Amino acid sequence: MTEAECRRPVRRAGLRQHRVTSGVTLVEVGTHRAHRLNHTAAAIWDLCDGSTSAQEMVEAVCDLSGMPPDVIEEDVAGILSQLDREKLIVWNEG
Amino acid sequence: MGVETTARVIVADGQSLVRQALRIALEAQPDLDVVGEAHSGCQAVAEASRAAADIALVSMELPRCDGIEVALRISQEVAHCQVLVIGQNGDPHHVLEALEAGASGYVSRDQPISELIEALRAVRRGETVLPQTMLGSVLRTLISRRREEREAAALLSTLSKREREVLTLLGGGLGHNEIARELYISPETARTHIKGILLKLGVHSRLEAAALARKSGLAHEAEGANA
Repeated sequence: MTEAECRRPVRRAGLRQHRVTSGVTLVEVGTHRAHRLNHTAAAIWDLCDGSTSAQEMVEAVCDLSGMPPDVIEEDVAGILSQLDREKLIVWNEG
Repeated sequence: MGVETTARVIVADGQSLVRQALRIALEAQPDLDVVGEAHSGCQAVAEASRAAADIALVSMELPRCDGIEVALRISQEVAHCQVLVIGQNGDPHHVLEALEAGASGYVSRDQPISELIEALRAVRRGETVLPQTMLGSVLRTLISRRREEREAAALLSTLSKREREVLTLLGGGLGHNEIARELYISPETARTHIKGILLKLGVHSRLEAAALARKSGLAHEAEGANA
């Protein structure tokens, strides 16, 4: 297993989740800063439980959509990178 | 003029009122044509074939054979027809079962009619459709199922070739006497193999062992080989 496959994202603590029609709004408890996620990003964020790897997420989305892995890999990596940039997830190593 | 033709749809639901409401809503669309109705699962399969439907809009809770069985039968018997299942929201296992049976999508009864119409169009374009709000739970269920399959496969890899053969037959519902006959071994040897299998897999019954074989895909391999 590669180092990248061992890394597992975890939802950051201190975020309150509100379901809205277009997806999910995450509100930072201290600052009240809001982050809007569409349904796909919200589903990926929801999978960030510290035990699910990005690779497992890609496999599941591929199974469900029938889309090729390279396309899905790019999409999932893009969403995780956006969640990381906005500090909505942290990474568990191995 | 576009190349897209009108989609021929059949509507299958146990309630006449629901069928009529769906017909009125769908026929108001220029690209959807309701070409048949069915009140039971068996009738849905027959109608899809008779009407040369492009899409079967099928209720999960149909009498006699349910939406999942209809999806399976239509995908096997009416190859050009896609299936969109309508069900109660909330159970990701139902969604996965429907997709695995060959359905192209699943919509919830909680969704507005506009989303159902868009789902029909998406299915027509060859897309897989499911309620956006269920995406997370469906993916989570899929991941957990894959993990179970991997764990089962890892356990099964500890079995010898002969033990795998015995387990496959066990999964097919055979008793130790039948397994012995099938493999040209004595019933006592078959019984010994079964004991060894249960021990290695850490399970307490033949039923549990057979379930593990199914999870790992071993039972499917056997079905494929026997087909």
